[in-house]
Amino acid sequence: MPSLNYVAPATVQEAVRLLAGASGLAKVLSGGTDLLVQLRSGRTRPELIVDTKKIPGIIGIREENGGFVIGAATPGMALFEHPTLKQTWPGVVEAANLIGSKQVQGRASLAGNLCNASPAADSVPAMIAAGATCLIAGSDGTRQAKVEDIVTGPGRTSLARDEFIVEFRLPKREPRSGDAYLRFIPRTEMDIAVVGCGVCVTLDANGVCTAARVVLGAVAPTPVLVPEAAAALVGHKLDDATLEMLDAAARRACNPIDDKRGTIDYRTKVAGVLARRTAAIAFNRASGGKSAGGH
Amino acid sequence: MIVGQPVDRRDGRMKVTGRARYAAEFPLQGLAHAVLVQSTIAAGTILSFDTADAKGQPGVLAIITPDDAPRLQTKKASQQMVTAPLLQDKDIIYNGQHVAVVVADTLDRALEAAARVRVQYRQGEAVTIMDQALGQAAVPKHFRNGARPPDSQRGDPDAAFATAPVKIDVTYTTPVEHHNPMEPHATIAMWQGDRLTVWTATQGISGAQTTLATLFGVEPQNVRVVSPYVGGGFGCKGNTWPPATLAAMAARVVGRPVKLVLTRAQMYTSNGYRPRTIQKLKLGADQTGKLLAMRHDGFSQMSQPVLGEFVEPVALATEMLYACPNVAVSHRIVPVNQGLPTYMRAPGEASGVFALESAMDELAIALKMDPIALRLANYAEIDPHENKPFSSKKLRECYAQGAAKFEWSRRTPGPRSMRDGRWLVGLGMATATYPNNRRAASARVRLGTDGVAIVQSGTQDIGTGTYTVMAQVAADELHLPLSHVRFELGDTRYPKAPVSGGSSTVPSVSPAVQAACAALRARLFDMAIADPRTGWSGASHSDLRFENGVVIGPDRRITVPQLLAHQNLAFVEAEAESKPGDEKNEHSLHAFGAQFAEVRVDLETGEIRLTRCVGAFDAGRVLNAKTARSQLIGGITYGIGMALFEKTEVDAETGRIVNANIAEYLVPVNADIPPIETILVANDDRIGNPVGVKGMGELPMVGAAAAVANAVWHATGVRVRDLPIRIEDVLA
Ligand SMILES: Cc1cc2nc3c(=O)[nH]c(=O)nc-3n(C[C@H](O)[C@H](O)[C@H](O)COP(=O)(O)OP(=O)(O)OC[C@H]3O[C@@H](n4cnc5c(N)ncnc54)[C@H](O)[C@@H]3O)c2cc1C
Repeated sequence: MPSLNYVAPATVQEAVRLLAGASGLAKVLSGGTDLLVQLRSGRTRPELIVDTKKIPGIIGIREENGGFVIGAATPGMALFEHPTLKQTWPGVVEAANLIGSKQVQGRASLAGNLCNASPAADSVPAMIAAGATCLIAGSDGTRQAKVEDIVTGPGRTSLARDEFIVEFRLPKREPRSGDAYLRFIPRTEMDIAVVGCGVCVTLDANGVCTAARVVLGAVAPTPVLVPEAAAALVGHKLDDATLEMLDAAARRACNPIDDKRGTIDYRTKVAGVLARRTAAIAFNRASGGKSAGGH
Repeated sequence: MIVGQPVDRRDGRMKVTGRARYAAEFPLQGLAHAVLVQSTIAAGTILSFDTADAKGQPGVLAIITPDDAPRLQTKKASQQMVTAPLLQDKDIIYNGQHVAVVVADTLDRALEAAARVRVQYRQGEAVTIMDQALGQAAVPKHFRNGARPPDSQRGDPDAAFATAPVKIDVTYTTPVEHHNPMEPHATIAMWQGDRLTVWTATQGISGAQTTLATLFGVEPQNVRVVSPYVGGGFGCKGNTWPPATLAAMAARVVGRPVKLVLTRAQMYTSNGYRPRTIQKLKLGADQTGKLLAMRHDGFSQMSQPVLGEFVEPVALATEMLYACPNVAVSHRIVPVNQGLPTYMRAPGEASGVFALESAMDELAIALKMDPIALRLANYAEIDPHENKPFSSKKLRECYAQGAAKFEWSRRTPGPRSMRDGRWLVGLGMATATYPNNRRAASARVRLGTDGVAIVQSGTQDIGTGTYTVMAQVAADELHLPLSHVRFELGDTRYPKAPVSGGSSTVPSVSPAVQAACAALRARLFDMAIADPRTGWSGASHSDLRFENGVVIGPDRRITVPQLLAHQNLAFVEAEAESKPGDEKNEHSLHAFGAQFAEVRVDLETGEIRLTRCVGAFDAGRVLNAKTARSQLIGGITYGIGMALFEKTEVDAETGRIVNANIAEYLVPVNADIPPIETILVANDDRIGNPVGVKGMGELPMVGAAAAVANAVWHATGVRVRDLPIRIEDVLA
């Protein structure tokens, strides 16, 4: 067996240098809740593992210009426990907290969830809906990217082999805006989404939607931002006709697989229903309500 | 009385603090590690092995293949004995079958070498899916070990069905399911000359002893099997499966103790499963709901006959549950290229009663009758199949008490007639029954000068509470506080007891414990009467009492240490065997129950959530209210898994199991399980056995899936006849 090396660099530059210098497959390690499982099953056989968790700031949350900067390897539990993050971006935090169990939450990170590039990753639609961006480090320095530009297909990302995500930025939240995420799973817990939906809306003083982002997970090879679904909301209040249009737009955006976890028809139907329900929570939050999200 | 009290599990603290030692955890000097190499094809023959690369790896001690495996004596000696595949030939019967064993000094090295064993096959024609081979359905050769034929008939069900005014003619299917106990099967084997010791996760130490002795051609007394703790079995640790035998074979080959632990994935290939069933049911009734005809034809998946035979006996409950004059049942097996199926919690009853009690619900709907009323209209006062009285039957009480607690009366009969906001609400019920089995068992008890009674029996505690309830039985019989009783099990050095299967442990072993304790007391009385210092010569046992370690006579008392000292003894000991008499010839022995389930189905997404379960059971006398309740809620939970989640998926082309892990083979998680309320209807059945108990490990699983399916119909109007019930089924 080719030997497997593990390194835990203390700086971003060192990590980039190690990634760039690896001759075979190199893997970045955050919480390891995907990577270690894949190592063990033999699905991935890297030559080098670069553990980022020793890099200062890669775990932690800070407020900046009214928004939040979240270290790439920050575990879900830290998002949950942060004093103001959840009030500001409840959809993102709830989505991240749906990942796995308490034990998994102690480790699982946003960067891992995103870069594992599963179509069903829970935090990704919520981050995209929230307009999150990420800071990527590589041999040529750092660059900013939108979260929706990272995943290119199941298990594939747009990151170059010497690049990794250092942190995420959640923008300052607009007044009268709100976000939400819901997923649908056959079992009540500990299951992978058959459909996920993230919605973020901004309303005017009359409750009319002025901006919206609607994202679906698990219904296509990547999470999909659905502008048509957003367009169904903009200019409207949350009424039956609007929800009907949203539902139809969400269903049209689906390109799911047919598997033992859910048929195409079923995933498509549920995507519409979930879009309505998620939108209702987001509208409620935007208008100052404290509507509970979650599953 | 300590019996009946909700005494805490005696092994509980040991288990949660990690001090209970399971089969894989016994530390032995020089322990080597064995890893299985498995077939990647479903049918064919092994042409050759290339082991050169593997043999060259560091730490490798042996690579055992059919080319050089020690020959075993595979003449079948007992039901529990699995004689293949044991590397005795090169035939491939199923994908995942073991074809070689690699032994190395560490587990990692064994794994590495195992991955380098190359096998060349000649691929044969494989049939991997039962439904494609129904034409090959065969009559079982050893149904119930030959105790009865696979088919039965009373009256003329076909004629009665033809003229019945109300009819149900439907087919139900249940999937392949795997047991998934928490503890994967594990064995450590050690040879000392011709003497073999195995530490193994088993539901039957004496079966393992006989099997290993036979296979290796040694005397049974030279095989010692140790199994003090078992992390759940549910049937998959009932037989002595090849991995245990292969561990012993490997230990013999390398001359060192060897450990073999199955991976979770191997728990899907190496120790059985509940076979898929296809069940055809016909029910005919008159307008008042009286059953006129019943026919239940069961087909269950089987492996190739060289591996043995297992039949899921789906229709046995159909023979006895209702007073119907015309009943026929049949059992057929369908051979495919899969491993050998086996017992899984309530084999036959769990799957068969799902079908029967769903069909009864369909009949109630056709008759516009309340489901409980239909069952009461056909209540069997005696066993209609064996034509014998029941030893006891409190099923009426189960229906009544369960219905009252569940508030069945709030149910409106029509489907989709009950709602709560966006949720459709459905209430369903079903009947449960399971035979009250008992086998011969022995126990011994020793009382020393410290006043502590040590009771031993070669039985098992598979997580059900054997340690606890046997100590309670002994404490009561000996009038000792529980703190003065120690119960030991899981070692073939103890008196023989049966396999922990068929819910028979408590009905079999508790009478033996009681008898051994009674024998010990009699011996103490004999000693006291014979002791010149008591002055009781001429007294009889009935003049004496034994309490708290003291023999009490009419005028004086003598302690056990005094009695022992007078005779220069360190302890007094007694052993007893207790076995069934002719009660089975006179009576039909069964436990009963009534299951109730409330489900909610999301109108828009079809999401199915259980909100409440109630189970009322006649399980005879209750030895421990707490362990009994645990069995009941565990059984209902297992039934919920069967109803809504569990299904082993096979790739038709390769015959490979694709969801051989507990992420993709869904078992219920805590959040799936609603509050479960249990009722134990008062009973004490001394005909079945002298302690008055009925086994209750399997009973609570029976009918649970039907109650859920019936509730799903009531909520949605959709009848699901193929388990598990999927959201797609109700999302019309
Ligand atoms: C029991 C269990 C339940 C789960 N349930 C869910 C669930 O409900 N929903 C869900 O979405 N997921 C679930 N998961 C998957 C997993 O927990 C999540 O995807 C998690 O967010 C991964 O984060 P991590 O930090 O552990 O990632 P890791 O395992 O460390 O990494 C995952 C991938 O991302 C790459 N990576 C990690 N960090 C970076 C970085 N900074 N830059 C670039 N690439 C990086 C790694 O190289 C690897 O390819 C579950 C996993 C388990 C074991």
